[in-house]
Amino acid sequence: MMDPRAWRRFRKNKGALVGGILVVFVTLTAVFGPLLAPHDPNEQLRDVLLQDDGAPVGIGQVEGHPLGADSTGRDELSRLLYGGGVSMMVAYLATALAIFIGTLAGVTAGYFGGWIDFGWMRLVDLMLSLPFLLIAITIRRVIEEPQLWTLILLLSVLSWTTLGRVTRSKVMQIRELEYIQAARALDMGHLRILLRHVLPNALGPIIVLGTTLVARMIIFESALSFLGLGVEPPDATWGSMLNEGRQQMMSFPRLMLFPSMLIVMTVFGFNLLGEGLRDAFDPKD
Amino acid sequence: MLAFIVRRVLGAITIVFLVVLLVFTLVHAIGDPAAATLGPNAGPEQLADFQRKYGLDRPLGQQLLGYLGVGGCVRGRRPAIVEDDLSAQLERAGLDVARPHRTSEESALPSSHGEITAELTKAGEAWELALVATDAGGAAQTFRASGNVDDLASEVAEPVAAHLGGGAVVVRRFDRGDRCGLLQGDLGESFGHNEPVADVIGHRLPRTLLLGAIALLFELLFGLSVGILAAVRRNTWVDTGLMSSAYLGISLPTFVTGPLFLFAFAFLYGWFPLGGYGVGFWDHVYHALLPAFTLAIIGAATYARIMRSELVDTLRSDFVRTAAAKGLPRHRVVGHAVRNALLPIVTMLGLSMTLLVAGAIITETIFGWPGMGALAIRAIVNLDAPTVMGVVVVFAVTVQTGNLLADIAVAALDPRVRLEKSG
Amino acid sequence: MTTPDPLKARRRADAIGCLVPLALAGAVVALLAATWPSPPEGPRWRGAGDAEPRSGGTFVFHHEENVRTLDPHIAYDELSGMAVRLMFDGLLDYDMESNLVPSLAEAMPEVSDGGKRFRFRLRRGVQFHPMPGHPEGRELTADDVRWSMERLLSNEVGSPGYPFYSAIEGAGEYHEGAADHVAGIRVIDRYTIEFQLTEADQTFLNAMAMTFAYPVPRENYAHWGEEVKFHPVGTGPFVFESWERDVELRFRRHTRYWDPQPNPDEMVFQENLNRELAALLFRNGDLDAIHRQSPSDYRFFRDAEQWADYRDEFPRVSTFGIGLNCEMEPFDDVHVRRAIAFAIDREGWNRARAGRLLPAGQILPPAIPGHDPDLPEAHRLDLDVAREEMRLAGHPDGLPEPITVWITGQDDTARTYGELLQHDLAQIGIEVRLRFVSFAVYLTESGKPNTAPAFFTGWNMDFPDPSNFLDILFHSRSIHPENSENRAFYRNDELDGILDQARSETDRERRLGLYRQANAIISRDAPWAFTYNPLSMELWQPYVKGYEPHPVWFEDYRNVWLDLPRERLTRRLTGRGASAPAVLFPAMGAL
Repeated sequence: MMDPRAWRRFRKNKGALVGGILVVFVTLTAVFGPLLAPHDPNEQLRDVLLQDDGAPVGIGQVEGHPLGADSTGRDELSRLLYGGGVSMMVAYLATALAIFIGTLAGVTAGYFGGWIDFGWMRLVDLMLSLPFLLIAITIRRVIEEPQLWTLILLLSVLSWTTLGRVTRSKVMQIRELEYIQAARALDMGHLRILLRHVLPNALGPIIVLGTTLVARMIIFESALSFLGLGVEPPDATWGSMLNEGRQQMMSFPRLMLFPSMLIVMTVFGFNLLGEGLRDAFDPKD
Repeated sequence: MLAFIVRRVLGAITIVFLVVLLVFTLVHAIGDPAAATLGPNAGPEQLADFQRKYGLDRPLGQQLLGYLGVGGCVRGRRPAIVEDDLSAQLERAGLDVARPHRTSEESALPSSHGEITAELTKAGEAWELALVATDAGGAAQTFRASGNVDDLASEVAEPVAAHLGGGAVVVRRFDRGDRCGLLQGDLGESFGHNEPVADVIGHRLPRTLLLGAIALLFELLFGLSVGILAAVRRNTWVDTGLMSSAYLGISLPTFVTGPLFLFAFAFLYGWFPLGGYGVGFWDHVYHALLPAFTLAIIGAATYARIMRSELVDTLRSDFVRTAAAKGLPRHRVVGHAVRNALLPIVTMLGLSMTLLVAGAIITETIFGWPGMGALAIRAIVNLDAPTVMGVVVVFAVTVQTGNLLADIAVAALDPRVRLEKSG
Repeated sequence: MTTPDPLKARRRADAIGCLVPLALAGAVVALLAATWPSPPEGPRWRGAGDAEPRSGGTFVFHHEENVRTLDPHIAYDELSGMAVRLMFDGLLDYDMESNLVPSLAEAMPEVSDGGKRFRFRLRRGVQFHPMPGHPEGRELTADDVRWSMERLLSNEVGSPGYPFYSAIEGAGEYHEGAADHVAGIRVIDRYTIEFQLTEADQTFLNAMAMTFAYPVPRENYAHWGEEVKFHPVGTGPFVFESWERDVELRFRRHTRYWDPQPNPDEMVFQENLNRELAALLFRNGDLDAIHRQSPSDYRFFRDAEQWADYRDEFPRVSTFGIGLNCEMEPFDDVHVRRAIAFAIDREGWNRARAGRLLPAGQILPPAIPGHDPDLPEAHRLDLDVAREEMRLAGHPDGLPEPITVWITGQDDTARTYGELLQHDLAQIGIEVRLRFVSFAVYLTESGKPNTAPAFFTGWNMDFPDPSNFLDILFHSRSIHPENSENRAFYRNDELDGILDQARSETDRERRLGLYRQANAIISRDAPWAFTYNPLSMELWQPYVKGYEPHPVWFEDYRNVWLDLPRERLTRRLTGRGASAPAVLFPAMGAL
């Protein structure tokens, strides 16, 4: 139920266009990266890609390894491509899950009100009163052998709250609309009203927040990697590569700069896109 | 208004309680802290001792009650030692001692028995023991002892045994009588630091608050001025330029900017100290500048966006247009509008403070700032449950207080909010 | 005047505006590039060239973790040890060749009763630091030594050092509370004390040189009670001054030290300072010595000519490896263990770690007597042997299930080691899953039977004797239901016998022969797959004199003196970063 005017407004927004291009580009690379990667990202070619004093080969020094190697002799380009795939997959899945929880919370709380509303909002309060990183670290300690899905679950469970709150207030506005009141008076089923009338109208803020949430997920995942709590080795994400590169910052700044730039670029893209969508759905100027 | 505040306060207390419940369960699921604290050479009996001293041998539910300070509170090593000493001496005197509050084995108690309840308080350097012994016939007598904690048990053991006269005795309670447990504002004793958690946190919290305050100052300073400038010159290249810069700003995570700033501005240019905390207040401030700036980038960009959009709305509203039409000078028109646009900023402040405290973990790590972040991480790593709990409780209370104050401020300024909240 | 088309203007604004952040970023980068200062290559300050040792100045050093306690009876981690060594002395100490030498004792003890009785005579005039009740300090006596030992052995203190002294007669009874004193510790007169052991123990004197046995004054403990860890009093060259938690500890020179020597007036021990920051501070001249570097910093200092005279690279007396729990599948099969031991590419690891690892194939490091450079059983990379062992184990194509290996720490160093192992064992068909645990969890859990199947592990010597490695790590006596030190749960009666015999053997050559035998057995049975002995590099500023890395103690700075250049004398010590804020805020300097 997208307003055609919204689409027109969106197209005219240059920032959103740039953001959209960045997002599409990164997403495509993430999907097709593994196909493009010239090498196995986890294979350590210690004899080929490490010099005698242990220094990894640099950009363009060895044929077939255009971006050189990391400190254990793995092809940097392949790791960036694969790592981007994992990063984006984690971000997208976690966002999808967070949107699901947040929408469920927001829609039921806003529509039904009363105890359901009270319960959800106290849960939101509770989540906001927990120090996010601290809880994430604690949970990662409790789980004995963390796998990718636990990371996704963790990220989404800890970040659906804003979306839930915004959706709720939007739904509360929608609920008061005349035709919804009419539908309720006609005894239409709640589920039908929600799916047919309420949800489509609340979609705007959900899409906008969802887009910026992807950006936040990428940052969160990298932050967890920064604290050594990201994906399991030997797999890479940009966050874990950044963290590994940090200790080589002085000698081989590229090991840190490549993933940093990719992270910043992607996050920037999603933020711009989100803002473009916000303008499109909710024009002010 | 009063009803609103009362309701909000009750809500806040419930939330803090739930946080305690959740995190307590989580933290205790990580592992057993005994060997972690005592080191590789500790023997089995030392481990058992440690667990007994800190009440870790009791079921989780009872430990939680103890942490809260409801019935059977164990704090630090002292009460448990005195209790153990006393039990041992009474048993040597021929009594049969049962301690259901430690083991929860109520069913195994004999039908006829005496009872003991005791309280241990610390008055300055000395410890005081107040013990009530009730014999099987129901005659109660109070025994007191004070002085060195190691001698308390032996001082009262003989008279107590004499009063009870043999048979079975049940120790009902053996508690710290002074401030004890979370409900009385006591955070327990850290395993790793061997001092009260309140002291451990007391050393670090001001540092984190200082960093947060300076960062918040930067956020408001940069954020509001950029936002105002963009709104006043809206739809010009200044506006779009500032706003897209703000987007770049929120896309710069601290773990990217922090190491770069540190290397460039502290090491190469030497404008700032290379991490650390310094000595003396102004030196602390000086050391906090760079990490605070790192921390403030994202927040400043967020404030700039909010300020701009609010101000643009206000500038377009009727009363501002009227004022402008009446010929009020432009800077005064903007001044009025800014004051009006500040309301949502106030609501943001509460949230902002929490983000600064929580988000500081990474920045503190990068810049070696000795605050709560480093403390919390170390506490988790060392399985120092009381310290982790303390940090979380302090955090939750801060968040709730911040939200509460913001809510009250907004409600006071804007009566509609009160109605909505109560609806 | 025509009004501009608003839409067009808006579009132009958009177009320009989008470029602003780019332009901004470009401008910043350009500005930085134009003014980019080159980092200092060498030391910032040279020494004053004064050959005559003298006192004065402030010496600043660091550690990346936190000091846990200043009570020598409790301190067992290396950095608490660093602080303890500044403030306390032992009866015995080690010289630079790892030989035991008298310190607070006048001479080495008289040994009698077949190596079971040790009589120490204390040096006279040794002064404790000032303490409550003794503002000028007071003399150390034999009673202090006895009281300190008894405190160490008591159950209440929970000293991790207790097991090292359990051979003293009556120590067990006293520990359990069945005796008021330790029968085997006897004060003969004010300056003479005697220790009686239940059986001859060749490591007793080593134990007496450990920091646990450093004497402390009773009054200080009586006065401070549990708070004593913040008010340490010893006989050492430095007096404790202050401790800003998580930031730094300060010590000042002990003017009545029994062995007068030139020393800095003040020592500042900065804790909780990570190694990357420390390296920058050191290059900036704000730290006087560093140890441990990130690979990147290591490479810089190793290659920097200007630092060549102010660094020392030496092997640490420790051995690292992969512990394999001999009670758990599949490591209960010696062939699987040996396959792993022969599949690790130690040279490759060394290369990935910038050349800081000495490949190791046996438990005893080169500096410990009993080490055999030509040990035939030593572990090495040989994939043919490894595959043959896998065949013998009945898994010619590798293990059907992945193995879980515990690894301590969450930082990228741990991650890198984990990935190196994953890669190597994949060559013989073993898939490795890593479980990251904190050191605390590792200590607790791997000491329980049937818990940690395989784990990265290592051992730092407590004292330079083979028994400190062999007995503690592989004797079946070190297996307990909880907190086992024999984390591989390796049991071998033959080995136990040899070790027991060696422990009481008084003939040095025969004793070493037994240990060599034990060393070979352990490599053969591979309860650990040995990986490396780490190389360590320490650096100090040119004006730091009298420092040489000690073979036994970590970063032992008690003998340094400062040959301070003029600029350094006026250094304003504001914690980290001597660059004064006054540079930036002139007004603030006046406040």
